[in-house]
Amino acid sequence: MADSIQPYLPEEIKAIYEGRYGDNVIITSVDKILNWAKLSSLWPMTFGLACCAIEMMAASASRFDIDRFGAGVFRPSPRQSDLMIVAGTVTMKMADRIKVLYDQMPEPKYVIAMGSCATCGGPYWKHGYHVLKGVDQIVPVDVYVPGCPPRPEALLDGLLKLQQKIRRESHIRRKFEASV
Amino acid sequence: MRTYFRNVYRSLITILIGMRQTWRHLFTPSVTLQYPHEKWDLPVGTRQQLFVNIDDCIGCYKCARICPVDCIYIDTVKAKPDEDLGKASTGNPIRQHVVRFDIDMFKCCYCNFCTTVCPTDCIYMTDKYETSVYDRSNGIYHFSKYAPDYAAKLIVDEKEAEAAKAAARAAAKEKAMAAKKAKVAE
Amino acid sequence: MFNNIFKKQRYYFDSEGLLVVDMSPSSAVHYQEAVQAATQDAGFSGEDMVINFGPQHPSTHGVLRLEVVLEGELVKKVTPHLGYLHRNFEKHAEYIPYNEIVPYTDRLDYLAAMNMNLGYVLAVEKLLGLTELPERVEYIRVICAEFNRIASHLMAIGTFGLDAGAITPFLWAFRDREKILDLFEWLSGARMLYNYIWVGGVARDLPDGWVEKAKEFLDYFEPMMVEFNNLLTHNHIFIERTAHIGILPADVAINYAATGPVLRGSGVKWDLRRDQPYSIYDRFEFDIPVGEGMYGPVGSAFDRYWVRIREIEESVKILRQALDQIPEGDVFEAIPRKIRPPAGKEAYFRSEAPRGEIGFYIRSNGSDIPDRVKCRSSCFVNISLIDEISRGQLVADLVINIGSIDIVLGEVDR
Repeated sequence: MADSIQPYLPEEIKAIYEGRYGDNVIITSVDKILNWAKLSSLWPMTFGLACCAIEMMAASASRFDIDRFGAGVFRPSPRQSDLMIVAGTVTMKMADRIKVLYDQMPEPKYVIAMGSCATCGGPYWKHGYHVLKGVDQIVPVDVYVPGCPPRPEALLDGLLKLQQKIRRESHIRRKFEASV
Repeated sequence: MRTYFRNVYRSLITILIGMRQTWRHLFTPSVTLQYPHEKWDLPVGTRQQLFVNIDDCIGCYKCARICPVDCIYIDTVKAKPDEDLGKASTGNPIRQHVVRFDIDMFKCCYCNFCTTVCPTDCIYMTDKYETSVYDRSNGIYHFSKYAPDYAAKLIVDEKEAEAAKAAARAAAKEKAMAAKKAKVAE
Repeated sequence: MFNNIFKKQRYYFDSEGLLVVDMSPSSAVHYQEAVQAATQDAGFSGEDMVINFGPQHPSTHGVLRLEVVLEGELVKKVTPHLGYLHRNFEKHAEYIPYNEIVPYTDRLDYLAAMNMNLGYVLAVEKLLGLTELPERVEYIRVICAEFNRIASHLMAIGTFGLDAGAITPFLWAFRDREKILDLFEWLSGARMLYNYIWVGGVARDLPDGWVEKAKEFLDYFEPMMVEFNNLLTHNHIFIERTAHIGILPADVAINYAATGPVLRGSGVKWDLRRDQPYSIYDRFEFDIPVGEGMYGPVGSAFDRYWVRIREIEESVKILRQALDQIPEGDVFEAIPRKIRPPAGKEAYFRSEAPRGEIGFYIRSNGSDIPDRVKCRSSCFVNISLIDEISRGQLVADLVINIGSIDIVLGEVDR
């Protein structure tokens, strides 16, 4: 894997990647701080498509406040958000737009597929000629939240699971894996 | 000129009335549920995760047939006459090995039809809703109690038994046709 | 110019000289190229700007795409493009038995799921000739429909305030809506998509104590509406924002076949619950609110909003009467075992949903699966008004207009 690294990387970072220094206390602390910063302020993009959008709005209303987890600022623009909660049925006509919007989001970005329709086409999987059977056919999904529609607490549980996933990430390694 | 001042006065008054309303809310208790630490008490009969008590299932396919979305996949193998699979808790005798009982909870639309038709009430909806997963295949719940190799063996045995029966029936038919021909020739 | 002969024709100019671009899914990502090619080829220059009020937008209440022709901030023409949520409910209905279609009707207008269930079930009962239902079933259906009307209108006025820039009323509306959803969850098991009203009856009987809890909610709710009115309805800023916007004259509304609060906001006193009463609505005393032009001309966005506020109060009145009069009985006795209408029979039934009139046309072919189900949806007809009422106004007012018509894309696209 060492040969596929681009030639312009500085020596120390190459060495980390090749494991010569391993996970030392500086790297893991930096990772911890970066991960904590990322997971505490996941700003979602308003991507409500259908019924699950109403439960997403209920999750951001006063009873199940999503702002307590740092994710309360729903940005309308993809360029300012780092989480895309695909809530609702994805149709073929909308799928193109979802891909464009996902590409416009800056790294690091995460996707939660909320509800049955976003995960596998949902109740429309058998005879839906215009329904995309799962949004993971066009974007990589991190967490799937089942339900039709899922309770707002289930969405919050999905968000917590995503936060656990981010906590285990290693930022420096991910950056190189994306470029390799 | 007067309208200008009147408009200013009117706007200020409406803002102040609104703000008095929100000021009063400062002293009311908050309605927020602190989710991971406090959970809402779901009422009896709530429709969240499906659960199947497979010991009570008699393999009648009613739930699979009524599901509007076809998210329940059942395969059964008929029990041989000498096998005794016992009874369900409601008294219905169990006559099928339920070899596969998969429910794809991602396809499920939580309509509750399957629970209303089950004759033994073995399928019901629990109040568990925290079931998010990282991988889509983890959303398929396998309820059958047979190990995969034993289930495969049962299916193969059943196929062989059917084939043998069909061969026997064909042979008996041949014999009957031959006997009839002989009789007609006589 | 010659390039277009060999490329697929992706654009043309319509009779008014406006550029129309082919937006089929395969060409969606080539929109920019198509527009550039068209403008370069035709030497098209003008001050008009065509922008997409795109499918992903915080104010479009779902995936609605509006192609807006603007001159600066002034709207000259609005064309809605639909189909971003087309989930072929009508095609699904051709594969699924009558009683199993009810969960799919929930997902049409998901904010008023009980009313959708009710509309469809009444159409099937008309087809089967089931007119005699137990009294308790009729009362429960009306109670559920009216509670869902309150919940749907709360959502509508909450998001309308959000479109106008007021965030607090949205949170208050949701707080009260959550209480209604709690009642529904106790009754049917689910918060939003109930699958509760079945052909010939309802799914479960009322639990013990539900009627008392419902009455407590109504007592709690009426002062809350007063607070809400203080905050938003009589707020001068809100009135300035909505009272002279989106004027819809009564004859235009009737010509466009608008129904529901959109029609009543223009002064036309037409409500199916009073003019063609179905179920047991003729036993209750309630008023039909119409837009009066309190702060501006009749038929403005404020009037439509005002009609919704008043309809919430009227629904509370109906609920109080129904909760007092509800009789005892068995709710399951009229549910048919097999739904198999005779072949060739057809039925159409219209009912009043919170957003307008929904109609279900069902035709049977003798089996237990319908031959054809057609849904006449209120929002689909109402959205055609958006061009008529937004011409000559600013883009910010376009947002208010969409909010005041109150569409739900699940019903528009079915």
